[in-house]
Amino acid sequence: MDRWARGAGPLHQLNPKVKVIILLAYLIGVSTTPSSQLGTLAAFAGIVFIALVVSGLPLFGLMLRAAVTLPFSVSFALLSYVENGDGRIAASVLLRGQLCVLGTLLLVATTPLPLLLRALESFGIPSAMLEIAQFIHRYLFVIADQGQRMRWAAASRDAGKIITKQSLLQRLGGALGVLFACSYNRAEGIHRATLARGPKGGFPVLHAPPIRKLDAFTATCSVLTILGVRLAAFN
Amino acid sequence: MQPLIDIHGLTYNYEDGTQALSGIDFQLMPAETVVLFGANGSGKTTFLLHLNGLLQGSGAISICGLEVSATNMTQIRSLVGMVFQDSDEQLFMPTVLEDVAFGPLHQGLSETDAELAALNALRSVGINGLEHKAPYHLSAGEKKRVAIAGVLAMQPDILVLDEPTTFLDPPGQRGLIQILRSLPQAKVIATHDICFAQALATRAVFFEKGKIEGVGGVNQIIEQFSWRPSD
Repeated sequence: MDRWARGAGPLHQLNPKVKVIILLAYLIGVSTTPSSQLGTLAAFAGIVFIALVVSGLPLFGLMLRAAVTLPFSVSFALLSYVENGDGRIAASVLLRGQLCVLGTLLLVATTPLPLLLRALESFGIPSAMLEIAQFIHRYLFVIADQGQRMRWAAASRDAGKIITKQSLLQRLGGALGVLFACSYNRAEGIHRATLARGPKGGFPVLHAPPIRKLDAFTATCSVLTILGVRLAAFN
Repeated sequence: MQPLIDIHGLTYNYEDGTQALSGIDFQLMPAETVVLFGANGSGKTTFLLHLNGLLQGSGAISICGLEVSATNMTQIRSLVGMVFQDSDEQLFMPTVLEDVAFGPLHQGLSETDAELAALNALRSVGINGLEHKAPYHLSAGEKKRVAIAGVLAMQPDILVLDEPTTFLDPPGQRGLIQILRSLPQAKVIATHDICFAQALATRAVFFEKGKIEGVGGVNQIIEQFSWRPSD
């Protein structure tokens, strides 16, 4: 995703703030569409599909990533079907969930994280929350690597013994405890390393893009299109 | 000539009462490279953290004539560039360029100047073409060089390095020696690596139980404290 976000497609060029506004409008449009109006949801699907094609991102790869949330969407759709017995409602729950995921993925995959966080900050999201998000993004891989090494270390000393459910849980509990302690220590180290470079608060980014006329035009057209699709459903 | 670092009677106790440093006197002259030897837990890292004001014990510490205190901290941290043992802790921004530009941006440089400073620093450590890579995709040697670039971009007068050869393979260590040799700053380096110390240092200091027990030439200190792995 990081590599994709550093691309040079038309959506990459758009100002991140504009993209956040368009996504917000899209999410509101999709989530407020009544379940009976599958046609409107299909139109919203068309919009996101066109955006996907325009973005120049690998379509299959993006769909694959969006599929990660499919079990949740399917579960909610099934629950809805069990409760209402209406296939249309279940289908709309599934469709709305996946469209929102695809729209969000599109934003993340076309916007480098520092620029995205700065855009969100300008909309009033607390900076502490965004800094936490940035650190999680940066260190999740390091912690995952550490977890993997611990798994290998455990496997290399289990003498090929069959692992029972109980011993697996014991191992898992121990590993999570150690990972937590390591993460805590690492957090202290990161804090020291940050202080050593004299920070004055926040994470400034290099060359935050200005809002151009093209950005404003795109935002206006996109929001009006979304509004049009959404309102057309009532008529 | 005025010393860059001038320390008298530095003492530091951890919160649990353990004495980590006791009555340390230390001076670093311009263009000097001093290595700190000593067993794990002897106080080397604790000592280094004082040079940047990250820890504050009792005693007198002055950096380039400035007393290390809360009021001078911004200048102190620009004067002393600290490279930590674990580069992963130091490289916390999403891309190499953004990480190296972090210090200059906080020093108040414009975005263009900060980027220029970052690119120059990356060039000086031999990193080309990795500017937009995520730090976690780099090798240990590359991470170390980027970490050094991160402090060089702030144009410090003193470089402080904590166990810089940890995680580095021999080519990585050789590369690091070449880079550090080419840098004009005075350096304080905590290390267990004798070959690395012999290749770089003009002087060695031996720490034991929070005290400086010996100061002299690198080989002299190695002999005096039997500080060879094969001894």
